[in-house]
Amino acid sequence: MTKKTRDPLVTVKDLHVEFDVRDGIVHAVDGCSFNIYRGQTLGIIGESGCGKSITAKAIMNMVPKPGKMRGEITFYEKSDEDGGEIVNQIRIDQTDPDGETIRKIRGGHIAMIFQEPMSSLTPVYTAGFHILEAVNLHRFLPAEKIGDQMGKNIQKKRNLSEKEARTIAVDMLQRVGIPNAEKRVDSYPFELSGGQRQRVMIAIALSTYPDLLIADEPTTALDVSIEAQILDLMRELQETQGMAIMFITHNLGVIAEIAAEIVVMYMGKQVERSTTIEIFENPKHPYTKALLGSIPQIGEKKTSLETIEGMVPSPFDLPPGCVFHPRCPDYMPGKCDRVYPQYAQVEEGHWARCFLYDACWPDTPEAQQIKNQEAIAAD
Amino acid sequence: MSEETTNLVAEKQEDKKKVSQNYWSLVWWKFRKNRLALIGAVIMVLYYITCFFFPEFFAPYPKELESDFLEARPTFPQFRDQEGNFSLRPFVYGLDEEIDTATRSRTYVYNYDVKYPLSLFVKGEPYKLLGVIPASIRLFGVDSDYPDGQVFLLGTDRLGRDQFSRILYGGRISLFIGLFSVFVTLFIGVTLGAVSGYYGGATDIIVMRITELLSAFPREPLFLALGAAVPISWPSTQVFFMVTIILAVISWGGLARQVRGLVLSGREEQYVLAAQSFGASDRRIIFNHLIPATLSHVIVIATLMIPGMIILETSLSFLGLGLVPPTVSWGTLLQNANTIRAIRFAPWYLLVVPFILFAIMAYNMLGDGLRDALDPYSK
Repeated sequence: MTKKTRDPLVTVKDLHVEFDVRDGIVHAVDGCSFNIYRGQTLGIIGESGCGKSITAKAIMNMVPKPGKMRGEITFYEKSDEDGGEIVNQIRIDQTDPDGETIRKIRGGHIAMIFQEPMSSLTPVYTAGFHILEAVNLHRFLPAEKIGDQMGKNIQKKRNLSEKEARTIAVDMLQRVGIPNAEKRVDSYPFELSGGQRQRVMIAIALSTYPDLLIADEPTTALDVSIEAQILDLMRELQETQGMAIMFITHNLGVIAEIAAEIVVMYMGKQVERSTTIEIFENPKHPYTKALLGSIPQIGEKKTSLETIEGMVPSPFDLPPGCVFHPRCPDYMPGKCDRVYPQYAQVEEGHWARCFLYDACWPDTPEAQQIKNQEAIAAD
Repeated sequence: MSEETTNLVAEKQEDKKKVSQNYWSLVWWKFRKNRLALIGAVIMVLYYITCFFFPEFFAPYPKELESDFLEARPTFPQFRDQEGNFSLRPFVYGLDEEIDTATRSRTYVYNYDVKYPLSLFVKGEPYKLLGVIPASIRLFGVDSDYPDGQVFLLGTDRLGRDQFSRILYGGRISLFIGLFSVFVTLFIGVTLGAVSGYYGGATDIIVMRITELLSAFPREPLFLALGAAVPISWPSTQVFFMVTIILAVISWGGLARQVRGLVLSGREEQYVLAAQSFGASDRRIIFNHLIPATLSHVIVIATLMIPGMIILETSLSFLGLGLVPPTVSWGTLLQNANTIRAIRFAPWYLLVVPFILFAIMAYNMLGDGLRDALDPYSK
């Protein structure tokens, strides 16, 4: 690995997102903390409905209607020169969701691509128009087009001419590997295939040179060969542009390929976080272990697939203590069903939330009492 | 056999061609097949050419020219005279005044001794084509060698003005008021509907309750009230704009509801989320991403709404609540026919009705055709 400074771009601290709906309060995200570093890829995995997408939307301050957000999300804005200083710290959670500040960040600094390329493009506009819209919204001419240092600020503030816009759109489409880009730039979404649409989405996202690309299951709707192409493309563009990626998926194979660091989520709670190699080689949390165990291995002879026991609990009726305990193979009665474990560092660079590790005992008196009782009983 | 295969191949290519057609050419394709809609479109084009753009050219007389023939009967062009001589060139007979001694009313009868030949492109009163180009040629009229001759295709009114010319001039106002008030309606209805659908909540409730109030309100008293609110001293152009606004204010409700429904489903589409994630403002999302998707629907509603507006204007003016006499519109022309005396002695006042009728029918045929055609994928 090249020497990459652990230069934070977005820090998320103790994020909670709650939905107050008729049947009760759903804790969609319940205490998530992680950092996204410049130029690195953070993977978030978990099963459907575990709060991955909501976390991503929270970073954009786009939590859908009844949702309420708590916690700290900080975006570190840097000046444009290479190795520039951090000029601005923006608390995203405190911005007005429709305000000017967050709209500058959305698209300009943090771009997002979605799971369904089929419906992510407005059907009435051409591919080129979409790119142009994003570029014009942020009035950000790509670095190559900017002349000398003096002219830079002036150029950046102006709108693109039609010809320039077209050149940029064609250029972006070429970079994401769309064949015959001069022609495709005038294509409407219905004339493009799923893979091409996702490429167009990536082209839109990249056209403003964002610092962070949030990819919310970008390959789930695509077939495997296109998936590989898209992943290669993202990796390649990450290297050339030095942007960070937050990659959300439920596909362990994909995440192993692309992420440097992984956050595992279960029922809105962050259960484990470490580097990719650590997670795959040395998983700490039983849920992660179970997830990894349920991938069939080539060469292995089995009569049935391994699964995680039980069902995902209803979000309105979460089990007491650790939410995973009814399905956990390492369930410890009297502990897991009574106390909610704390998220703590269990090894160097490895965080988890499980009573298998002493560090996870919370400091509350009741928890300590239970812990002591257990210790006495064990003796 | 080989012929069959080539046929099959040709058919396949035909299919391919069909698939790759763009939306508007598909629409045109389907529209072209609808004979009735085409007829409607042609009639409407003719109406707009004769009444809207060039009535000065098509009408033999200026709209305010008062001849000496008051409430004269129509003089129909003749090809065969009393002796049975056929002439290719049409002519009209002169009119003789005749006073009925019993009723003391004046009638006109043909004077078979006087014949005025008709010509095309005769020199008439000078006018300005489209308000700018000075001209004096009119499509037809009595040959300029016979300065005494008059041709009243549809008779004259109480002041001796040519009814046919006035119908053409009146068409300009009536057709324009249809278009213009629909335009204003679209503006109010689409904007409020889209805003209401996009934001939901309190905005939605307020807007929808207003539309319900409007639709629950008895229409005629509302017309009366609004019509009475227009000061009688206003100049005719101001009254005209006031009437269009009244028409729009009354009729935006239904449109707003339909647009709201479309936007309501549209805002859940992922492209709205995508646009938001690229930093688009709410206004941009509503006007650039949501409304275009509703346009094909709106076009149809608008086309079907225009005839309604024309009828509404006509009936309002007929009742004396809309436009008032110095302004010539189909409604004010019809106002002449609102007495038994007029219908008994000058039934040609009613000849404005077929003009209105054809315009309305043509618009409806056109609108129906558009509705079918704008959804080219439906069978």
